[in-house]
Amino acid sequence: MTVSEALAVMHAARAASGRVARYALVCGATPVHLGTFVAAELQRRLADTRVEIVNGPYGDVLGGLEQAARIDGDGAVVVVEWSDLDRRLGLRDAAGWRPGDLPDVVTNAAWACDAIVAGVGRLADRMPVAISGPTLPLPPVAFTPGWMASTVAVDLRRLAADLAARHAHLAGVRVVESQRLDTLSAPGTRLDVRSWLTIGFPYRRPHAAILGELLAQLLVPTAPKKGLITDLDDTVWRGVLGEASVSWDLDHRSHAHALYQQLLAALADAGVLIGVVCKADATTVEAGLAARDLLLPRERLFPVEAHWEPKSVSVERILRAWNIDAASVVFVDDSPAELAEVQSVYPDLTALRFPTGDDAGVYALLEELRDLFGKPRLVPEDGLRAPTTATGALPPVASGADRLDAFLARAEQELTVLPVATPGDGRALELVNKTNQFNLNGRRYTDGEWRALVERDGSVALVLAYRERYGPLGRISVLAGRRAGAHLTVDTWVLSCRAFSRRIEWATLAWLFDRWHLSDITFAYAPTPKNHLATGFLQELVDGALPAAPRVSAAAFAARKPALSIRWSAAECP
Amino acid sequence: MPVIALDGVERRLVRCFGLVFPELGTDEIPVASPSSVGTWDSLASINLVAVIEEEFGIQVELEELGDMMSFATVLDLLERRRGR
Repeated sequence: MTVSEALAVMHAARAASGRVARYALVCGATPVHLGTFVAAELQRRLADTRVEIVNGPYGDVLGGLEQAARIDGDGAVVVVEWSDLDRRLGLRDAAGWRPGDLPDVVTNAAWACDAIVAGVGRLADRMPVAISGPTLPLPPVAFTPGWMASTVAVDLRRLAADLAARHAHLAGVRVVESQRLDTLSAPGTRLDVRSWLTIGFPYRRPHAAILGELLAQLLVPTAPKKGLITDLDDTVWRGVLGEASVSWDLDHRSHAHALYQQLLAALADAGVLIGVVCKADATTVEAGLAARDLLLPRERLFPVEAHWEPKSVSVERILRAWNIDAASVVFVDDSPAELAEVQSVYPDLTALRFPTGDDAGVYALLEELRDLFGKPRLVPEDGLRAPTTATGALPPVASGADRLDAFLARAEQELTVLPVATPGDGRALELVNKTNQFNLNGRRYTDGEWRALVERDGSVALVLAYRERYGPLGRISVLAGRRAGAHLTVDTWVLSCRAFSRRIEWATLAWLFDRWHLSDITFAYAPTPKNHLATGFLQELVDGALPAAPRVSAAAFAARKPALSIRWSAAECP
Repeated sequence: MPVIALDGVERRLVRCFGLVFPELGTDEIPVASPSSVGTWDSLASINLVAVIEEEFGIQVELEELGDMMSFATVLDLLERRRGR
């Protein structure tokens, strides 16, 4: 992004009618272009919102942290450079580079690191924080030649690494990955001496643009993909089942496939659904998947579609079984023709070619998959997702009411209501922001918006956890609204696709009416291209066409409510 | 030092000013200066230099910053660069 492009983004957003999202920018330098890039990158990610940047004081990161913690912000960007650890490590100071000064520089930097961690921790209690450690080269302070590591440089880098580690372990703090920054912005091209000396801005503009993009990405991350559908032949392994032996090892120069298997296994453990499509007969495929040294456990693969129909047909079945939309799924195959066939039916699906025989290409694919499926943290539900679906205990899809009744009667359903906790519990907001089909209005929230919603007067904010005889599904639903006497307005309501067809939505409303003796509930409903399940449910509650804000009385709900066999866990009910 | 070879310098410079001072109408830009534009502060000057450098593929030298105190002087600077 150039400054011109960044300014154009900001100007285009001036007319946005939505709320103002305020972000603090804390850095010791003059922020100029960095502020412009951070604002524009945030703005690009927050449609219908107008981004404002609040700058901290010049040359005072600690003061900036304290000041930022006092604003009503949606998040904070913190940029720490060497000169913020000790001003002698900057170029706008001339306080001494004599050998006798150097131990004091390190001591001072250690103290500054402690103070910054404390300040960032306090700030993170108020709002999400994205932070980068020193990105510029150390100035020539040491007496050693440039190719020889000096004790002062090694000690300072140790402090910087320790600073990043301490920040990464703080709740609510996300740290820029220096390896990615190094890839995108070569370390030797970052410093702009002229700019630093004349206007106090130390970065060349391309570096500031990349740093701004990464920081914004930490605060407003892209929603991770949910499922990966993979081909087998020349993808999970080298070779074609039934035609020749297949391999994934160093001896057969096919070890890149082992790395792919290893990544898929890790993704599955992190909650990513892994499905298989293969043009082969099912018996052959099952024999291949039963290989004892396969690094991808067979039980993690569900469904496995093995037949000779077009792969788009297999993908359709898998999407139906997973109950997620194509935009949340990545399809990996070595054949460009197969990728094109699937993509022609599902243009929203991400189709990636497995570059068999190109080890460097496979490694790049692994990195791309990490980005597509990466998430800031794992929650217990991530570990539950794959095995639960793999048990085959999915309720019947689009079945008749009788079959559903029979299934639920045996399911030993149990729901637990928990209050939404902020900050620290990212699961509730994650559910709200990634659920499409049963989503009252499709509204997405930043951390700051969500906090404001949950903490306002009269707020009702609940998370529902579910389990049944086939195992726990974890926290699967979030409902937030405002209660006034016997009336409840529901502003946000989502139910995970994993928990559909269990009448949890009916049970939730039944619990609300009963728990608070409500006379009626109003829903802040809005149709979206994807929330047909929420629309369909609300349609069952009202007569005639669905109004803009459907209102359901206790009597009308009781008259329509189907048979429910869900038990409530009362221990943690608010 | 790069020579500005393309025509339409004034039109492109108006676009640069429009990015930095979006509140200005196109008829106000040719007479713009710090005294006539309330938002023309040091940050705006820095942004203006960056936008001009990006648009024209040049680097503005330190001694030239003093020549960038109005639309007319910036245009004159660019015309001189073009003539080199």
